[in-house]
Amino acid sequence: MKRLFILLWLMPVLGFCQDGEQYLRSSASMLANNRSIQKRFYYAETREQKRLDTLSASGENYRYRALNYLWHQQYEQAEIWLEKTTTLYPREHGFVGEQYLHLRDYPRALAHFDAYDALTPNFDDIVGYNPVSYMRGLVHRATGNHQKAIEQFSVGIDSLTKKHGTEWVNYKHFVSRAVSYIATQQAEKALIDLEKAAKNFNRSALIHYHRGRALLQLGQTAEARTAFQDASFFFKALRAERSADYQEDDYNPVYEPEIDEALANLKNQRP
Amino acid sequence: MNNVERSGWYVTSFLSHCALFILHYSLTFAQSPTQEQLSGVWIGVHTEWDTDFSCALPTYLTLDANGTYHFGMVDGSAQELVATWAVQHDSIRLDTIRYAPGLITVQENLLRIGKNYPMVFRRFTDIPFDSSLVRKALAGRVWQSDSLTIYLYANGQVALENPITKQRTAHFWQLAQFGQSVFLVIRGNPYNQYGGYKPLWQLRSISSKQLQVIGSSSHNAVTQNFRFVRNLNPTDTCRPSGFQTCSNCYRREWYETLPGQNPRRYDVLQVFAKYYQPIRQAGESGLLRIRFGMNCEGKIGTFELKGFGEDYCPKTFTESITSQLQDICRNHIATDVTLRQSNRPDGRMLDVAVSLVFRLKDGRIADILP
Repeated sequence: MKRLFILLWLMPVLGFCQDGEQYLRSSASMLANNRSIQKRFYYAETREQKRLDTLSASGENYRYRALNYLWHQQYEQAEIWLEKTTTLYPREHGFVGEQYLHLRDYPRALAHFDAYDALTPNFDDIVGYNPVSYMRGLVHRATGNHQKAIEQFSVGIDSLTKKHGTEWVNYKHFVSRAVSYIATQQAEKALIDLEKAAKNFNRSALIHYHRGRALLQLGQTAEARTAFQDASFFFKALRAERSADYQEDDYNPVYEPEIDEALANLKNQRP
Repeated sequence: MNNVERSGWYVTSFLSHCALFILHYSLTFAQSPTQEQLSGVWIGVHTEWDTDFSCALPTYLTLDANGTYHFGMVDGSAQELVATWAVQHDSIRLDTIRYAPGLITVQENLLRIGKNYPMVFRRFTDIPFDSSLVRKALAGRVWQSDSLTIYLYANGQVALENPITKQRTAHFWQLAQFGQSVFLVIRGNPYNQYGGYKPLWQLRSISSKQLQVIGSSSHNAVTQNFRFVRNLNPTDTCRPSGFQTCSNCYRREWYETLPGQNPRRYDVLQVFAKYYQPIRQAGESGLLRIRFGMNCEGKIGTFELKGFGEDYCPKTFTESITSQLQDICRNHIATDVTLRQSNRPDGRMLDVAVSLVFRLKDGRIADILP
């Protein structure tokens, strides 16, 4: 969002301006933009910092302050505000855990997710769009504890499946569990999950890539090749749809060279 | 409190409330300048992008008393925009844009448009000069003020040097006639004339020993005095003292690129996996942030390293880690020309500020933050 803003609005009047005509047009747009007063000072860090210093104490404001430090990669200050946020507003534990997960600080992420989950016993609290059990599963998976990850992924998946059916489960959750199944040599289980995932989103490069991996584990190279080819096709299709970031899921990134490499490795094997 | 004291307190309280109300009213319903105050020719001083960062504004704004509006480039590099303007009740209309009261202010000779990123103009006074005579007087000479030395090369290049730090940047210069006045226009970088402008200088007086221009300080338009230092030798060349961005309005945050993010992430992870030799050393854990600037020609600026321990407190990592990571950045990340590519049709390269954050665990790279 922040990046988009700068691209759309601020950049035209900066060094991008090469000739007089462009410069004048950009300056005219700048005059027009100055007719309004924005609440936040995007990319005016000193002004924005002063504004933040005047904000009242609230969970939302504290959270924003922490995020602002994270955006600027000022991790010392970010940590102070992340911790301060949860001390005063325990309901922010989920958000803070998520930030530590992005920072690859797994012990802290887990501690905050646990604290968040403990706020309401017997209820799988939601962090953003995911249940906290899923977030905890991601932490365990990142630390290589796939068994615990599967347990945690299953909490959300199973309860939703039981209540409303598999079509109500986020396909990325099935993929995450499948990745842990593959890591623990349980390719059949992974394939079941990936099939359910494909029913919920059938144009996913991510699903086909991991299907290829699971099939390969089972020695079904022909099917694996088809899956990787499908992954390659859908990856390119998605890239055509999106201009900048064409990752389906930041928690399960898949890169085109990985798919190409998988296909190249299969070339040398008999179908 | 007796009755006299109490009534006194009430009066004081009432007066202070009145004062606060007036102050509040004046802030909320600030008066717009009148048509007379706004009429005239205004020269761009700068755009205030932040409290500590401004960029040159090489435009002029002419607001004729008959309601005609002209907006153009002082150096005449663009066809001026012509429209109308008016003061209507409390608001001001420039072309089709209507500004609420308080968004356009005139203070002495300065016109400010906008609140978040104000564009500042100064009132123009025409000072006649013959540009060919000015050129003759300036070209091939070195001029110096307390804070700046200008090397005006006869071939159209110019170097601006801080006399104390000796930091020097290179650009191109030209003279522009505006009205009867002459402006010294400095733009571009060591390589070409693109990349925007430096603040405009209007000539105020010139002699063989003295040069006086109207330029800008960080918040105002000011007169700057330069004295003649020496003639340039024909062998003198115009070069920056060190790293110089191609843009004259460069701020790291605006040009930041994070190669640890998609779509470069995979390649970056591969590069560090291939070239980084892990140093197995307990305690070498935490975050390491590496930043460096790169100009449009691929020249690399200073590396900035900042380490954070696992407790996020500042930490200095061992040199065998930091020097390796710096070398990989220099030899394998900075060499990627796509970092500097823009989606401009002419394919011109851009400055870029590269930022990478490593999560280190006992001397090995656990991950690169997206």
